[in-house]
Amino acid sequence: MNKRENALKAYKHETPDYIPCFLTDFVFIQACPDLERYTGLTNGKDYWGCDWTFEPSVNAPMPTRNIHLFEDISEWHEKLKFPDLDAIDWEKQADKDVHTDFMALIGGKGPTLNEDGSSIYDKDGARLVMVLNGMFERLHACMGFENALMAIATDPEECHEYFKAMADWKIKYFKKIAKYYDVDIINAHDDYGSNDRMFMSPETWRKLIKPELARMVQACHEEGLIYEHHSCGFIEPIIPDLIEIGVDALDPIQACNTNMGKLKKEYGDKITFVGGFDNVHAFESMNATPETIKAEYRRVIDLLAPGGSYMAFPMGASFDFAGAFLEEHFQYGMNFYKNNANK
Amino acid sequence: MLKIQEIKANVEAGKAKLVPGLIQEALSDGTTAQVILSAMIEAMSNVGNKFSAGEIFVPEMLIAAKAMSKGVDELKPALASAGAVSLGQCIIGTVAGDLHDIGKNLVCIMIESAGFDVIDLGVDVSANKFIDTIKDNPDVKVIALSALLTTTMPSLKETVSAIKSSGLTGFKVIVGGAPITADFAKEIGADAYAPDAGSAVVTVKGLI
Repeated sequence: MNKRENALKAYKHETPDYIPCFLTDFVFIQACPDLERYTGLTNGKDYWGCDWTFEPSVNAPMPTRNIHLFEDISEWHEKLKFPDLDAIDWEKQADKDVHTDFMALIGGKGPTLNEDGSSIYDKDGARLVMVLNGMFERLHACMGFENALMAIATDPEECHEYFKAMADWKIKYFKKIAKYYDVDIINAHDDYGSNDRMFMSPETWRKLIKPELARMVQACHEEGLIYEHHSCGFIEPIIPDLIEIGVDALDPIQACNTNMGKLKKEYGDKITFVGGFDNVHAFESMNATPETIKAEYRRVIDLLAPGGSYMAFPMGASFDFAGAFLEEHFQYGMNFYKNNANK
Repeated sequence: MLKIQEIKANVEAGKAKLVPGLIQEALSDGTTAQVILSAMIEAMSNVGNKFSAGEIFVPEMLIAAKAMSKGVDELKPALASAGAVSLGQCIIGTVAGDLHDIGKNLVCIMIESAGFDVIDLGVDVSANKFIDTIKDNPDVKVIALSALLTTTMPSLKETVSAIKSSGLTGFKVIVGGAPITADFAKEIGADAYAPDAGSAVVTVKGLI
């Protein structure tokens, strides 16, 4: 069984031969990266016209402060120009994307081709397309975070119209990906939580976002793709909803979701949990040592990996912890399912 | 419903468009600006408590704050002529190296809504900038510092240390942000810690 087959077993909520890890068992691409974000090291616009500034402290672009496409949600019909997906030469784009150095891309160096000329198809990892800026993230990229949140409270109907239109566009984008790229997983990003609560009430999320997200997940499945959702922050209240609409996997499950053991027992055979590590108090703590990093790795593996349907995904602002993490992954995680009690 | 109760309810519900008109009606009826302001401050205190209790979320808090702000604008002429006094000055900012401002802005809104004069220095604020601003505002009562990243926790520590060793006195330092805990706050020498914007305002009021 190669890395790809092993990881796909975990996505099917089965027990793989060993715990798949995002750092070692995957190949990543973005489909037309400049579509969703400026990809350079200074500042510039994406295809939507949103302005981004690269921020070295988090090694990623952030919406440029105080530059908004609109600030009143009633203006979205007029001011938001949806990129024309049919205007992109997808055959050419896909060829470029599968040959792109992904680490250089997300490090702000723009789309540059792999020096050795290789493509993701030359490797045996699970093939994951990272789709940034979900419906909610695009809303606040366009109008500013606080304006977006206030619009949700004052004009929910108009926001819902926006979410519907955005889901339609995303579905068309997913279909282009399915047609032009030979990949396994759509990893769609849309953050719904802060450290201690959701950005909006779970009820509001259920009314405005859930129905549209459900259509996006369904579209992925119709195209034969796995849908993995990425949301930072505390999102425990909506995990049952994500399962209900068919989300196959969820990352990064930050440690502020403190009831993951219970959720694993309840839903572990219905969704693949990806991650679960505590960056704040362990991986990126000021007092982190190789021993504390390894202890955190084992804590999470023992909690979430039994029975399969789990993948190790460390996320961070820096990856200084990666050495100790991988060392423990190779020693502990790779052998975890050799113990029948963990299968 | 009494006009003053109506103002309070509309601030809590975030009806920014209705609050100014209601305030004018209350003023016309002879209600003093100070009484109206107190009612709005009470409304925002309820908002803070509901936020801390998880009954409302950031959108509801933001629109309530906007309604409060519209109300204060409407009251300003009447408050000025009545010689209203604030609870004191508060200097707030996110520490050097950290660009996150949502949590800091929420704290800002809540402290301002409680009756403080807030000087918001924004994000990525150096320790020297905090110290210079304290020197320029010697009556300041509270310095509120925010850090969201684990990687900027050392910066928070350095900022508290620089402020504390500057020789400047007469104020308290409160810290907060996602990775910050009460223990960390104590360890770095801060006077207080609050886990969210709702409790921050309660803590700040208790500090002065």
